[in-house]
Amino acid sequence: MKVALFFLSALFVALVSRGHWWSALPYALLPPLWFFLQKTFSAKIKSSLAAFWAVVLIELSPLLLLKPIFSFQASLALPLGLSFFVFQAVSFTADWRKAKIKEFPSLLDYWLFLLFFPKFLCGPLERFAHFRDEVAKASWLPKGTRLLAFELLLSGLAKKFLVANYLRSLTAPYFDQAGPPSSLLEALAVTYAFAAEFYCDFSAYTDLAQGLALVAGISLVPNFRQPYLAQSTQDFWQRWHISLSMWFRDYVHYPLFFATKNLTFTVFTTFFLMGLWHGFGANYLALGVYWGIVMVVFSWIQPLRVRIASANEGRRWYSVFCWLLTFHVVLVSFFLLRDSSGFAWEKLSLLQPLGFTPFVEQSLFRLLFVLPLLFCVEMVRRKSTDKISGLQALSANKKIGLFVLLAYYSFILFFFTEEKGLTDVRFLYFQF
Amino acid sequence: MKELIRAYIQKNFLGPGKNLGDDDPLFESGVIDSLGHLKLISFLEKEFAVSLSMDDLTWENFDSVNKIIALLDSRKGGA
Repeated sequence: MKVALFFLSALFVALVSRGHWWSALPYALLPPLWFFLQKTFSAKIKSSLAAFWAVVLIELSPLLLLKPIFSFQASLALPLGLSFFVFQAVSFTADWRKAKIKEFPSLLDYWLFLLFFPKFLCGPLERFAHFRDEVAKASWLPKGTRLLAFELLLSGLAKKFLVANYLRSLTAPYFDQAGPPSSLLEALAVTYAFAAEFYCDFSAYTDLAQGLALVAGISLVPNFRQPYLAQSTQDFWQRWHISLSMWFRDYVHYPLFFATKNLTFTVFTTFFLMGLWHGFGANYLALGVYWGIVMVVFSWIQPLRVRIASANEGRRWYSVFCWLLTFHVVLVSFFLLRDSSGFAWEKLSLLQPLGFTPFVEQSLFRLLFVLPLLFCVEMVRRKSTDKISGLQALSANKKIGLFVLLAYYSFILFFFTEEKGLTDVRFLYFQF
Repeated sequence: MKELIRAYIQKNFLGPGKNLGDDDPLFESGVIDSLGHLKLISFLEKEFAVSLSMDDLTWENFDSVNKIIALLDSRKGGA
């Protein structure tokens, strides 16, 4: 089973690297190199901090060297999945040092951990001990999780091809093309649309990854937990791209705090690096600074927040206020993240805060068109657990209703719209 | 010591006037999250002049007022 999964993963890497074969080289050469390095120094990594950091730096070097070069060369593209590949290698070394991995693995186990194809491009970021346990009990289409695998694949396909790609056709012209100045209302409307697109695109990838892994009986770690319902920014990071947040928490945030014992510096630096990880453009720098400041302020005003929350406990308006505030703080960061060309920033004219542009009218209408579908898919997903499908919890009538709804949306989108790129299989996170 | 820790948790995480028993779970119940965890460690180090390390950073060590006291006692005893 392991060998079959490894060959499938190698085949997948070869397929995504076709046309630029050199981008597959890191995945062919680095795992055996890193493996023998770690095996040779396995005792030293545990006993010497210098040895540990030397190995971590070697593992980080492809990312540290290539990311800046590729960020400033628009004609070049970073090998797909490199960040996630490197982050998992670092987590292996750190977990080995902390004795979270009891027994040194075989090269096949290690290589499969780094390349396992469902999670290879955009995660979720696995930890070796959990992944090895899952691989040990892998089998094709195990009876208990078949329906969950099917549901995850269906939910991923619906979110990506029926919602995310449709919304991308609305947001892409605003962010990717120069144009006349716009209003604050237009920027807000397009960012709402992008928030829906971003969530559908990225969580769709995760659903597909988890669904595909479940076909082999492997349960990957969760990556999303209804992030747009977060009541605070800290709450948001425990719901959005959870495996990356946990990676930064365990391998950056905690070590940095214990090295400096300065909480403000630690919080700012961690979130700044999370922003910078996306790239070295001005918008990503701004994104890092923005999240750094937001989270530091959040930490400073914690006693005040607790006092206000305590005084308003049980009041619905206060929960709605916290949710709206959090969502809009997140929206600003999404605007910065998406505006890599700078066109959206240029278009934003505060002189006309409420200008009703054609885009505003169209996008609000179109958002109302696609959001009920997203809501239905999410309601099903909310009822599912690691092992049980949410579909199982639905009554027969609701299941039929859901399939009719999916068929309806598919029909409308594919036959009555002229939008281009609805079948585009690229995901937003591929670029990072 | 116990009252100082309890008052800090009430002020920063739980809310003023909220009851907090000596063995009430702090992490399992979601009272404190990972950012709060480090905030609590900063407070304990400053207030009780102890030095905590990454090895102490398990939720089990901090999951109730009594467990925090036990950790501080072991660090002071070991110092």
